[in-house]
Amino acid sequence: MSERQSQLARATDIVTSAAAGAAGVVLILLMLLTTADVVGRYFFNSPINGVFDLTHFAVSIITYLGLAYCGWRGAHVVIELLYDRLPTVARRVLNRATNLAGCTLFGLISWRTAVQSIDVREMGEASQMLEVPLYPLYYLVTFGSGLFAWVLGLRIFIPEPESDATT
Amino acid sequence: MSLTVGILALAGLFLMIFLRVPVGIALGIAGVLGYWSLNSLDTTLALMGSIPFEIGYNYDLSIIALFVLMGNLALVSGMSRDLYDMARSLVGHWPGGLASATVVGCAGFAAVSGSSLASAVTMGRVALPEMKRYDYDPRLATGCVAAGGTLGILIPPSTGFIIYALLTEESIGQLFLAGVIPGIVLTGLFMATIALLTWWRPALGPKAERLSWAERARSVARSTSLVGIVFTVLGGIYLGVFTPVEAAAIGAFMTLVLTAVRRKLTWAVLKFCVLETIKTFAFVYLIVIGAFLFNPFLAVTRIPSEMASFIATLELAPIWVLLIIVFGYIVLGTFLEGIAMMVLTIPIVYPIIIDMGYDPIWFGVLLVVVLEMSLISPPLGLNVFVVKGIAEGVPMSEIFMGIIPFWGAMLVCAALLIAFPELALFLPETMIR
Repeated sequence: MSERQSQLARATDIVTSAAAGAAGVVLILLMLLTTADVVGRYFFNSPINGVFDLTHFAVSIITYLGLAYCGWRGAHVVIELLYDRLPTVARRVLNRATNLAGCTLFGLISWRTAVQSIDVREMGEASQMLEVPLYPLYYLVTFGSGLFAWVLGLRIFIPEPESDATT
Repeated sequence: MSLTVGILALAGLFLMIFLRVPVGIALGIAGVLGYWSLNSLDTTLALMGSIPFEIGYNYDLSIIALFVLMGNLALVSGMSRDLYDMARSLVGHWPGGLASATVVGCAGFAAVSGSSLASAVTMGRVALPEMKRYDYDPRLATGCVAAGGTLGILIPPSTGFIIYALLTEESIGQLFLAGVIPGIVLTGLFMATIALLTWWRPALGPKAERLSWAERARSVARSTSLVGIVFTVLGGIYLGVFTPVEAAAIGAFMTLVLTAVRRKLTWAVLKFCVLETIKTFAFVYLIVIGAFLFNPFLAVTRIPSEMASFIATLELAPIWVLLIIVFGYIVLGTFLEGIAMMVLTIPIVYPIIIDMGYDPIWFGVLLVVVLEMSLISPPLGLNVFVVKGIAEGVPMSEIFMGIIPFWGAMLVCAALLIAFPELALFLPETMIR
């Protein structure tokens, strides 16, 4: 790994970890909020307003902020049948092709979601109960998919360390 | 034309998966390219702009995140040890008792965790050294851990049921409850398998010492909090007190409190649990997003409807179609991972099952039992690899040998489900909605 590569890797580490940390905070808040809602409903006869909407927001946030972290730290369970029998060079080419394809896919998703957000904003789409506008969540999808695309793109040049298939 | 494209795309999809392309990405690529080949570029791009948001903006997906968190917390709280100790104090002195205790421990852990791999790992770490100490046959010891671990996806909460529900829009609550009785039945069948094996060859699983009633009471008492959590979560869903999402949140919260009370909760541990949860959740989510990019294309190719009408023209009795499907899954399961297999096949198989007049909740349970078989089938049963990682010095071939009787027990469970659908349907039909 060159100097520049390790700098990029470190920066990616920091950004993806920060995003995942934020997703984790949202997850904990979701747990506390939902529990409080049920307790409030049964014991104090006062459910919290809009938990349904907030759960939707939370899931969007957790998924898209966690995606790049998952890609960078690698939690993939993969099937090794043909792959194992390939020569090292073929494996390397294959890994790069995979990352390139994934990078393109999520790059496109990031771009198209950004385009879509303009329409969503103009149409004034909003959540069911609280009527919060939804377009900021499209920005979030753009950011999350973009970051994931970045991670996959970086993996073309900095390959994942070869690891055990089952962990 | 569209049918040909569809078949080509499916073939490409399988090839990509064998070449180690992550399933979610493979699905997404095959779906987008396929869709583009049959539609304009504009509609394809529009699809990519809307689907990812819509899939993430989902109420039910939160169940996966919350239950994964609950399972991870249960993992660090040391409950798996308590569960095993409880089961051991009750049945350890039977022939093969430590193996039976392992299976019961796995079943108990499955009730707080939705993952089969996690169940096998946790229980394996606790139980394998014990069985080694008592000179158990390594085949029996590793076989019961690998098989018992698979209960993770049958006994709720279960990632398998949640994915099935997302793909078919069935009720997660009903699916969870439908898994309870078959889960208990399969646990019983595993224990019966162990009893039969040790009756035939007592040396396979020597008895451990019998514990006094006071010791038993103590070990049972240590597990009561965990049992309480399980009953709250499932009972709450059954009695209609709360939704599965709420049950997941409350279960995770109670487990968090319990972990804290046991002084196992440090800042580092919490951080670890939460980040692991985010990782697992994002991984599952990636498959879901791929599936939802692939399925619009699959619908356009008309493969699902063509397949269903083709089967209708065969005029086979529904039971034969069902048996062919189950057999197909067992074969597929030898080389595909469970969740991937479900995502790939459900859009095609589900309409057929509905056409035949079978109950979709019941089929979900049957499917999960068959997926469990795939988790321990050679050459790629994931649970076997996991157990291999823990059981030092036991060759892979030995583990696969040890699995055969348990695999048979699963087959019996599947047959029982087909013969008596009520095993799965009793709880969902009587639940309060």
